[in-house]
Amino acid sequence: MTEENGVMSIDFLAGFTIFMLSFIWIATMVPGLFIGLNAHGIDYDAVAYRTGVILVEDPGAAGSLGVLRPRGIFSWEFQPDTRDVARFGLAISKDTPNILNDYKTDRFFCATAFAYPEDYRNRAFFTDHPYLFNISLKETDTNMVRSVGDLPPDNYGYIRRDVKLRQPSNATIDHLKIKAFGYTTTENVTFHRFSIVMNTTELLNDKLRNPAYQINPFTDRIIINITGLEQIRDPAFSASPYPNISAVDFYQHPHGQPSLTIPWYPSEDFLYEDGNTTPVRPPVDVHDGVSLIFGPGFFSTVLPNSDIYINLTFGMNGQEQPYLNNTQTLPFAYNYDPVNVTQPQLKDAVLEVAVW
Amino acid sequence: MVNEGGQLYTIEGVAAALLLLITAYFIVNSTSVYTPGDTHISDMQLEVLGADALAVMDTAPDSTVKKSPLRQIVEQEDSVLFNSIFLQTINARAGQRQDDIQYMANVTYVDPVDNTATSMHLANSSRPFTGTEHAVRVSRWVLVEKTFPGCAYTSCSGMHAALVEVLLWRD
Repeated sequence: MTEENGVMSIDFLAGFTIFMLSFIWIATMVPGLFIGLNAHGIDYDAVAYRTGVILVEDPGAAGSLGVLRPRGIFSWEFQPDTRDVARFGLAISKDTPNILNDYKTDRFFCATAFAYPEDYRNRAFFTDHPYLFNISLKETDTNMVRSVGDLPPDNYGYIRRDVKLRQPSNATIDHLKIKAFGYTTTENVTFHRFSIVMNTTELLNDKLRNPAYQINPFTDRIIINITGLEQIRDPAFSASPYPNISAVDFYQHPHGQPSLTIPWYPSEDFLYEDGNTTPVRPPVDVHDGVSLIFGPGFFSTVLPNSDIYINLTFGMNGQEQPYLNNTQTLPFAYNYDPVNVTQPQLKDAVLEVAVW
Repeated sequence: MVNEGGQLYTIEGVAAALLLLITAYFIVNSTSVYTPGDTHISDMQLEVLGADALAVMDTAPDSTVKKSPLRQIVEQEDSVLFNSIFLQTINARAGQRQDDIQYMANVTYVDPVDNTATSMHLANSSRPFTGTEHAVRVSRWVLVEKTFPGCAYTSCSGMHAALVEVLLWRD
């Protein structure tokens, strides 16, 4: 005989089974449901924060296959092949967070060196997720903005970092300095020699210096401006043709050894005339001023503990007359003396990272 | 004996289960859950900015300047200079519009004779701190050469550390 109680049990069992199966199915979907909530916003802010830290507090790194340049220069910004850059980082060193290197910054924002977004994604975000982003750097005093990336949408992860941007040192040798240092020799000759010396031992090892304020001739951009040359010409020869720079020579003087020529330097384009932006090569006429701009790494092949000599030879077109000459005095020293050299300046800047 | 009473219960059970599941699905999918972690993000952004601003102010512009702007400000109690540099630094953005972060800054120093810590107001932004703002605190130790008010000359002379504390908030 069939009892009615059994029907209830089977029905309950069927309903409960359907409920449990559905519940398990829904439960497996719960993590996916939460992804659609606020997780992306939180994630993007965290990614922006992490990228901000990498850029501002880390000096970056070259890959294991990177080229080891002479003088131990193994930084990412000196890698000729961009594939050898493992990690971006704009800080001067690990010990100087928030102080950015000018050359690293130039390279980072160079649109021809690195392609957006792939090159940046692999070296500043370290993820397979297809993040899009905008990284901007604004110098506060000039309002100059450099950026890489797209325009941000309405919602994005964001971080802002206040930083200092290191500007390279430079020396301006004007007519007042030339006269004060006695570089206008009274010697009347047809060729004059003017020398500039960089004592690498003094620059790098004289005492423990904060890397932010250090002048490193192997990695820094070195700028030397010689101005007011019109005013140091002898008035008796003012109608004569302009003098010319007939040669610029480089020597290294390792301590205790004879002088050597520098075996190799990366570019012949370092000489500029009268503020022009197009480089010139000797021999070239000199009017009022010349600039010598040596890019970062120009002197990287110089031996350690050597003095670097930059010798300029001025030709006077065969006429014996006085001009810029320090063979009778001392070479102009590119050093930490603020009278000689405008020391590296730290300028205020702000770096923003937006990720979406 | 078999009858049809059980079928009704089964259909009701299944319908109720589906109703519950669909309701739960819609609720979970449409609600924005504001977790404590979200508030922490904006706090973290302010903290990073404040710490950066103090670090930047505590960096001399070049090697010929021996004292950082922050050290000079603390030594001279120059609230006007602190206000202008700090506001410019912390509100600077890469775009055209400036941010609008408010602050209040104190300096705390210790008199080693009786080992008491004293706080001194340094500067604040145009909107004073009322205590109801959701503020974050950042600080930086600064080496100064200054005899603070109420401090015995012999105990506070020479180089010693002072703590610059800044409360930051957005309107």
